[in-house]
Amino acid sequence: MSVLNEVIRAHLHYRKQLFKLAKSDLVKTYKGAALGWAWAFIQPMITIFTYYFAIAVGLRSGKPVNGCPYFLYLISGMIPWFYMSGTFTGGAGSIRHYRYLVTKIRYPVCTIPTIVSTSKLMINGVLTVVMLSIFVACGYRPTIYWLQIPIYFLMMYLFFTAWALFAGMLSVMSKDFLHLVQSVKMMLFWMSGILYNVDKVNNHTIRTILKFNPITIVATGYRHSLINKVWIWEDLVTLRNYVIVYVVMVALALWVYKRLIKDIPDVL
Amino acid sequence: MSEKEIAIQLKNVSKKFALFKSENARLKAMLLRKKPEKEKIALNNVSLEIPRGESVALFGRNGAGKSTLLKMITGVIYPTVGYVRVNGRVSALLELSAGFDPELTGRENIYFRGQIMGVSKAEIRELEGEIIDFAELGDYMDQPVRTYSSGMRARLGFAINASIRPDILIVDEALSVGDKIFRKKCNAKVREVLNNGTTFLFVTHSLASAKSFCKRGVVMRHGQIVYDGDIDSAADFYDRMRIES
Amino acid sequence: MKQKFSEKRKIWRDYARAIFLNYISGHPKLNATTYPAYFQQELGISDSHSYAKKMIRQGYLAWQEDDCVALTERGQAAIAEDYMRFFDFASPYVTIYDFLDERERMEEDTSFEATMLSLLLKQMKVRKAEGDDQSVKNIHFDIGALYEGLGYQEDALHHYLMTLYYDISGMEYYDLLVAYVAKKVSRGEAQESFDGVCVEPRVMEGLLRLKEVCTPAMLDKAFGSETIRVNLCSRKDFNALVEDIFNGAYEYDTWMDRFRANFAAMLSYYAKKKR
Repeated sequence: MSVLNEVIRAHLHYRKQLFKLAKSDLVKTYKGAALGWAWAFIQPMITIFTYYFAIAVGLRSGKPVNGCPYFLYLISGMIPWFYMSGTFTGGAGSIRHYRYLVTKIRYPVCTIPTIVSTSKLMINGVLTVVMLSIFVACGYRPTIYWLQIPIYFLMMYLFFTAWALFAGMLSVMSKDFLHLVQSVKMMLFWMSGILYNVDKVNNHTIRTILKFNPITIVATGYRHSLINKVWIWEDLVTLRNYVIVYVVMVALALWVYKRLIKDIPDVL
Repeated sequence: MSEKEIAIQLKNVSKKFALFKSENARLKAMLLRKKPEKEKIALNNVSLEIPRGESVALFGRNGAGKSTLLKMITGVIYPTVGYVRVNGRVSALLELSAGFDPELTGRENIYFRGQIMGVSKAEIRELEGEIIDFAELGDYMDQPVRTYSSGMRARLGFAINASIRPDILIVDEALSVGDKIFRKKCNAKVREVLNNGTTFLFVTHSLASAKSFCKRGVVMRHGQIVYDGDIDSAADFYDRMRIES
Repeated sequence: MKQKFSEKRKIWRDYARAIFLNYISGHPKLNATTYPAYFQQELGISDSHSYAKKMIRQGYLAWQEDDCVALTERGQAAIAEDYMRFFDFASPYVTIYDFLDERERMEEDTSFEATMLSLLLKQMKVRKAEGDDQSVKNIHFDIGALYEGLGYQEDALHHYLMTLYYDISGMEYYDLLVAYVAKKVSRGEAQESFDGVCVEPRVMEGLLRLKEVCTPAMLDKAFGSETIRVNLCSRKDFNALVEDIFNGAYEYDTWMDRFRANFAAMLSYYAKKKR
């Protein structure tokens, strides 16, 4: 597909600018606030604490999973969620946000969503390291399965960057779509395996559908590496689901890109 | 291209903006490739050839299609029908403060914008001194652009765009860049660039300015070119063109 | 289309390569070149730097001193003249595949001009049948330019006159007139929407260049030889307009007023017809 070729070449050619813009996007997000960078950690911590409190203390559902305390189980899913959540909506709004790159100068639009997804990834990289430190601090020494984490990290990045392109293009054309994305986000969160184990869901059909949720796939991958000690090829269902979901996402993103690219500067 | 070096060529170019009842109607039509019900025609079958080194004034009232034409030449929007071919590096002094990343410093933005315009890093390095001198921003050069006033941004924008050795220079006279002294400097800079054989496209309402810089004049009306000839005749034509209410 | 998909791919590759190599020969300093946007938009070359490197690898270009490249023999051979002429001609109405297809069908004269003329005349019929008057007008002009290049002045002038005929027909107001007849717009609105007609400067220039060969018979032949759905111009007006153009007496405002009056008359005519 020549569109795929075009998109990849644009990313290669503009990679330096991309990186600079991603860095600057990062800085912009946290600058200005008095606590600045600290918010990158405070926000996630508060979120995690809230969920932990509600589930483990309030609902008293926080049972250990596979011998691992619920707290660690929770953060192993929540940390990647922060990236996914940020890119899910941030990616959708990315092209609107960077409209000056579209309407005032000649810049490859297909790389704009990547700016946002990369900037969020960089923060998440740091958060991931923090998470791993917490694991170590709780007595969980690094195992060889931890080597999979960069792989799941990358898989997450690839999927959500494709999503960002898809959603970014559509959101320019339709504010309704942008709002839809914002509304659907939390639904996807609750219908994923972050707070609970999807495998324990009784209904077979529902379980199968939930396992196609890319958020579930990533969270499962993280847990396989950190807690369950499962190799990526040992859980073929999750792997297969990822491949299917990723290919579909990329195809959709490229199709939307091709259809709408010429009209984007007119609409913004 | 062939022997006659053409800097800008438009052939049968039309630009139609589709009008839809709602955003979602537009999205649906575009994804499913349906024809729109109503269209606004910004450019209607425009054909134009500007050889290299020529200086052309573009006249026309607001809404005549001048800015659409310029955006097409700078590559920001695409034609609905027809070909737009531009040979060479285009520098447009239109939206001077556009294309800056507010978090980067002035100096970093020089590189950023240069790279976006297709100038190699080495070349920007050579030009950096000239740009900084021209912009007269002093210590602000190493401050993030978001701390600049709009005048400062315009000055930096002008300095960059005028210095990158463009093959084609587009100037919208409506921009006001700084105080009288700086404006004089800008005019001189534009002349210097033109003396190097740069192709020049000048959008202006001032006939006197046009005559002083350009040899050829093109008059646009309602998305079409209604006159194309030597600057004096074109200026006369534009002057005499009766304004219809 | 006659060609198979794989053949088309090869044609496209050769075509894009020819245009690219020709461009490079005029801009040998690879790193200092700003590649034009139309490489991507029209030729599908999204990364010109890598494409240039590919050309070097494949032996069409070779490095010289100080970062310049030059065409090799192979490169020279790849710049087929017809591809270049086709590209320069830039007609939105025919593709390179159409061109090559047509050339195969030509029996005697397979020159670029002959092939293009044959092709454009066919396209004109197609567009005419579709009611696409603007394309027909543009094709007339392109044909005129081809004839002029070949030295066939009368034929060229005829086509330029045809282009003028279309220019002043008011064809762009066809939909408006239909809406008026169908009572969707009022008389006042219709008259308000009249924006004048535009005689393209390039048409006038063409006519001026060939005014020596013009005869009244040619004007007669041009006027009314093709039917257009709308015609704002009478035979008398047409002749007067051409005369004004030839004499350098063309006044934009005077003629716009005349066309506006003609348009008003046309509206009256349709108003009466309705009753």
